[in-house]
Amino acid sequence: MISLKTEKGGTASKGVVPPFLLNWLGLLPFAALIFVFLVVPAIGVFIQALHNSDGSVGFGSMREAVTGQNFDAFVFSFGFSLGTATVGTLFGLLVAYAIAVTSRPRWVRGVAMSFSGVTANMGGVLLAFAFLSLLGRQGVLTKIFSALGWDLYAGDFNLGNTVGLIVVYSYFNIPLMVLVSLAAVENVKGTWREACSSLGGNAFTYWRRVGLPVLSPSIISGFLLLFANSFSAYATARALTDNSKIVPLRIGFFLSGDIKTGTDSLGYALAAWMIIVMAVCIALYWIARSRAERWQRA
Amino acid sequence: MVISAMKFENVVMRFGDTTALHQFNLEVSQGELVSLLGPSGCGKTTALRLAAGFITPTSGHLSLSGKDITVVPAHRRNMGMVFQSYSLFPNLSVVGNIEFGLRTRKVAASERRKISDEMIGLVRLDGLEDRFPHQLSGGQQQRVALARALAIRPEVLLLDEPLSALDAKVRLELRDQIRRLQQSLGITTIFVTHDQEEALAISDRVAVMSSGIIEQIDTPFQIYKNPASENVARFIGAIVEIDAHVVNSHQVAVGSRQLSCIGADSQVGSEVRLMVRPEEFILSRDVVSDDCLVGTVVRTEFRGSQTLVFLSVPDVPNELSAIAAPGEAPPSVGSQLGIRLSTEFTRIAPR
Amino acid sequence: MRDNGRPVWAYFVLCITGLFFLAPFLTMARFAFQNVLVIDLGWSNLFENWSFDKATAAFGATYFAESLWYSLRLAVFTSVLSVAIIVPTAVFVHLRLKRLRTIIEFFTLLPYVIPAIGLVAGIVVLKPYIRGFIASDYSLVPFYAVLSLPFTYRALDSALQSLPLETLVSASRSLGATWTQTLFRVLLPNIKTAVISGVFLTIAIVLGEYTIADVLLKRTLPAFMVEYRGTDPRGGYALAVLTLALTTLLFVVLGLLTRSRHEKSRSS
Repeated sequence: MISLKTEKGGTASKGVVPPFLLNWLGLLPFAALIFVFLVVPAIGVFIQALHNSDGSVGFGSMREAVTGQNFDAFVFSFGFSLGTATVGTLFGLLVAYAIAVTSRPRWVRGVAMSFSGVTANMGGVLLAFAFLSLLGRQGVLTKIFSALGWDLYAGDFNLGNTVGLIVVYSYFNIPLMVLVSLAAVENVKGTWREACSSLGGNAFTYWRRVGLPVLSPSIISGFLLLFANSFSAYATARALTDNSKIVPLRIGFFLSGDIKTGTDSLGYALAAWMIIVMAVCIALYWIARSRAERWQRA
Repeated sequence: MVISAMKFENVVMRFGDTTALHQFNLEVSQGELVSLLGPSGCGKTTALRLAAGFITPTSGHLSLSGKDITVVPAHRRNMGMVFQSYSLFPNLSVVGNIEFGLRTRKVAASERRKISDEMIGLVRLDGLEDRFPHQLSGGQQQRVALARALAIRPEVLLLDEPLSALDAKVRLELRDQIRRLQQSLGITTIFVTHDQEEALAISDRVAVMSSGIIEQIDTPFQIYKNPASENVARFIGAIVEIDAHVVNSHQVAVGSRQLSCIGADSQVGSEVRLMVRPEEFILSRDVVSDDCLVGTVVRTEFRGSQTLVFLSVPDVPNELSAIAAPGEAPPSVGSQLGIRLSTEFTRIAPR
Repeated sequence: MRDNGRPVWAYFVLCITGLFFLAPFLTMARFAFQNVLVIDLGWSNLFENWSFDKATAAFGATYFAESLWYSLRLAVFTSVLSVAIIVPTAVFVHLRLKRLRTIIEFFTLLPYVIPAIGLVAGIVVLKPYIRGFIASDYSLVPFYAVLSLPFTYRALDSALQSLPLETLVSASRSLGATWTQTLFRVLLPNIKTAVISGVFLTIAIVLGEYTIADVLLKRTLPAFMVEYRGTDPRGGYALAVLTLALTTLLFVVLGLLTRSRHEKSRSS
């Protein structure tokens, strides 16, 4: 399979292939998987996106994808993702800190981590089902609220609109934040805190001068990850609403019409722009995380 | 009456069902370096953390220069602490770390700079002021930690196994440096360690602890020469244990052989255990006399200034280690040597 | 600062959080298994009319067994592919390409850059060219493997970080083991937990993913659930609850395994 495994026998590890090439060969399966099943489809998207509406090659669709209603969709997606990411970051940090300070009972951390694993990866459809049964028009909590006098659906609340989606998205955003930041938070509450105390600093001093500064790269990287995650989430939104106010839904809308015609490049242009946004986000996330880890190694 | 710098009075520390410290009493004098020595779990770190104020004693009192500080929170005690894992603030430079305690005390910037420069000079880190912790080696980080703790001119310096995470060579250098600094500044210090060699080398007094109590507290010399209990004797330095029967006031029997031994008067007729340090044996080629043990050399360790000889002796279960006569060549493996006790030896414990 | 490990405020936060996360599950289960309309629901009939019927009915539905079996097969194959590629790659990177570690890790984040909907768009583009491949039942496997990349690699990466990898490999090789033996007898046992964690995560993804399965027209379990919900909502939800229960069980087991390891490093 890889050069690692094809070498037989003990001592002679340098075969006929020069070591330099061997190194890169070892990455082949990984690179192949990513290239064929991720990069190639993305390239496909970009190729289709670089067509005009009449079928000729050009930036027409790319431009169209960020004007008018489409532009509104991007703005809305941005704002919405900022909102969900902020909510997720704040609550996620709070929960992470709560887990970090709870050393008894011992099972808290394990359970929290496992649970975060399930929920952060949960399929959108399942999540949507679940929330519908809780907060939908026929939801249990909705009924409890109305029994207490508060008609949830009196205004224009709806699981598919902004506030509703923020609540639902938090379900996977908060665990994701916990997963990403727990290690950093646990570190931060450790001996640095005591060192600060021994030097005369109280809790406020600590958080202001050491704790938060050290945590900030982790917070920022977590925020960016949540932003990216929220921006690109499709299945959940799709199951809860059939409007196309956010970019992923718009893409889905254009593409489902597209399966028949195959020439409308607008959907692909939207997808291309989304990928660009994601790339920027993830790049920034990456930088922030490297910073965070550098300090954790100290 | 001299007021001690730091005093623990009948301190008891319980965590749930476990008692980490039982009736802990300790008085540290001004300018003294006291080591708390013992294996993991003996309570030494607990005692230190109590001193620092990170935990409150279940009962008992702590006082600093006569004032009761039992309930004073950690950040209001004027103590410097150095941790095993350095605990330097990663987002601050060396100078930033050192000045941290001064900033919390609202010292003016120019004064702060002066003090931190002085500290950097003291721990010999000149030129590294603007580096960050992740750019420093372990030894350098620990020196910054030391400077940081000393910058605030604490009343007491607390060190929690500060050398454990360092390489052997760095450990020795830093150990030296800590002691010299401590002495020149005259700062009262409590040093926690599990390395007995370290404790004996630098302390004014050593408190040997086990299972939450102090077994013995005394100068290094006394601890070594007159260990108060078998535990202490075994923990400090090398020890050879020989089970024997007291024949009369100046002889004991080990198996079929007799051994001259003084100080056994009160235990005539009883079974005892001799706890002997290697340097308290006298080796000779005389294997015929009837007042010595005879052993076969198993191996030798040449250590430059002395040679350690390991012998297998009948009726003594473990290898007996002794020091060869100075100046002579190491005895050959397989040769037989006579073993006697020097007059220095007095450690006879009942079995 | 008194650290007694039992902070009340933290318990409060965790309880509320726990409730928030359990509530949707519970109401979904209620909807599925209790034959009482929400309008009529009250304290008195809270425990009435619970039955497993809807679930059993779903089990008997035409394509249920098929889709379940299909999803399970997918889960197995994806796990195998995922582990087979990522474990040697991670080991390889740690051994030979240390400097590239960060770059490789960046590449494992690509699934975030090209999220499900983007991937779907790409698949639609390529459809005409790869009809043969798509027709296969197992065409989903590599895509799912790619989706699990970030988490699986992360877990393995940190596990390998904490091992003295080069020393282990040198020791093993100097004792005469081949690379294969080293991999299986020395390395794998030491990164067991990370590998299992990766596998469980992959399974969770496979059992919950819908978007890609939909565009490739494969009847996986989630796809079946969506379809079935059309005919019998309560039945669909019943299946969803059971799937989630299964996934949660997997993770509880995982949590128990990782907990004991974490505690060992914490106490030192």
